[in-house]
Amino acid sequence: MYRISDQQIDYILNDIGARGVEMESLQQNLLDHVCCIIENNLEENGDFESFYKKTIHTFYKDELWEIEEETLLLLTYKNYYTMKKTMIFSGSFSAATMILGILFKFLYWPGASMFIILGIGTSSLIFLPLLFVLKSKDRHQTKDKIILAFGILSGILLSLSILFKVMHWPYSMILGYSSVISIGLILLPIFFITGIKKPEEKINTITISIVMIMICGLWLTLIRSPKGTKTLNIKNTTVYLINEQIVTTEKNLCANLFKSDSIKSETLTLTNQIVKVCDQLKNSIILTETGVSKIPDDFDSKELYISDGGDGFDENQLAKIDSLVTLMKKYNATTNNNPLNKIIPPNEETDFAYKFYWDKHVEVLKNLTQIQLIVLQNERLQSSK
Amino acid sequence: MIYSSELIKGTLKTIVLKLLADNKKMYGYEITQRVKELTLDKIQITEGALYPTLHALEADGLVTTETEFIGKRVRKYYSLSPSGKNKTKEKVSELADFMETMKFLLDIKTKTV
Repeated sequence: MYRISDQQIDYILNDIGARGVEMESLQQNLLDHVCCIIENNLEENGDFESFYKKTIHTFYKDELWEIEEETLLLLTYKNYYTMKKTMIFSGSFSAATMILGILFKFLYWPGASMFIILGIGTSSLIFLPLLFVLKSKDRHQTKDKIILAFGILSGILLSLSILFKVMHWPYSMILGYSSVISIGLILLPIFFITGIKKPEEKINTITISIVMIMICGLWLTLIRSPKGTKTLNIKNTTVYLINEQIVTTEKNLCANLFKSDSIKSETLTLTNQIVKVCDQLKNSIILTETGVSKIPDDFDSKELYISDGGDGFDENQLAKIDSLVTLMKKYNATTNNNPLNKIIPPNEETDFAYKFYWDKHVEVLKNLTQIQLIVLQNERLQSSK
Repeated sequence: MIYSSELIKGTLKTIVLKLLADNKKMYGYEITQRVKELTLDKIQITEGALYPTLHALEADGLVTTETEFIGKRVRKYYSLSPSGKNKTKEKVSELADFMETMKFLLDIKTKTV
């Protein structure tokens, strides 16, 4: 029976490590095993090194680390199976809800946004991360894993940014830009440079790179450029200021009517109230939009704009809208028997308030101005008769 | 004749569990030698199959380990945990049942009157 020295044990352990077995307990197992074989089969004065090499070779087909790979595979197999199932399920679920969401959206049925949120949410928060975990098993090089991670992460960010955008949730633009930047400036260069070097992946690399450029390009085409947004903001704000000027002139023209016989008719009182509530609402919206209650003429240099996307109202504003709509309905009723212009088209009377609730600030401001102008002009029409 | 590794692969867990049930505690090399002995060299468990299986059994909580120093190297002894004991019975009877079914399926049933 051969006796193995401590140096030989170190030699074997080093060799096992050098052959790619990294798990300590597996190293110890293999070490003990190979030592047992040597001790039992090598003659006392036999050649240790060549016998060891022959023995260790019987442990594997191509490489020793296959044993570790097999071990890890068995250890993760259970999770692997559940993950695979969850991935397929969540993927099918998100595809199905996505299709339903789009269908509902185009048919203008209620519930569309719920399906869209579920669809995009499931795909970006469950399906894509699982896809990464499962796919990264096939990638042995760290570089490939990083590329995959970046790709999946950018995909998640991009789909979330679109979801946030359509739901009018905050930070959608930040999400979108960070995803496009990570695709365009990090993922694409690394992917292209590593892929183009391998002859067998050349065509694949080129096509996938083109697809990535197209995705970034399409997204950037869809969004407005910062300059475009500014131009639009300036336009909106200018329109508002001009409208205000017209309303002020109209108010001045009517000033005498209000002065002379203040509570002459029911419509005059209503006109007065409607104009006031409209003013209050407008000021409140301007405060929300710009942070100041009145937009100055040099708004551009102070960067005080009415934005294109602003919407939503607080409780006070909603209460104001409701009281305005009540006044308007009353006003409409009084115009039934005379040739005055109505402020609510008759077919819209039932859900007129909703038009305000869901509209953008910039549209609501225009609407309020129109209402003020109609009632004031009505007064002048009447008085001129 | 040595059985093919595909045949061994599906039954290795059961073999290891049954051996541990009969022998209290064993280490890797011992397991391979015992199987060789008992089967008259017909079944030879490879290291590449045995150790992944032992690790998986350990991760599943079916076997427990204790280590012993043999000079400078460490020997890992495996023994059944309580849940491993139940699992062994389950696996052995499953395999026995499977063999019966295979006999029937492949029409090699020993002919009895």
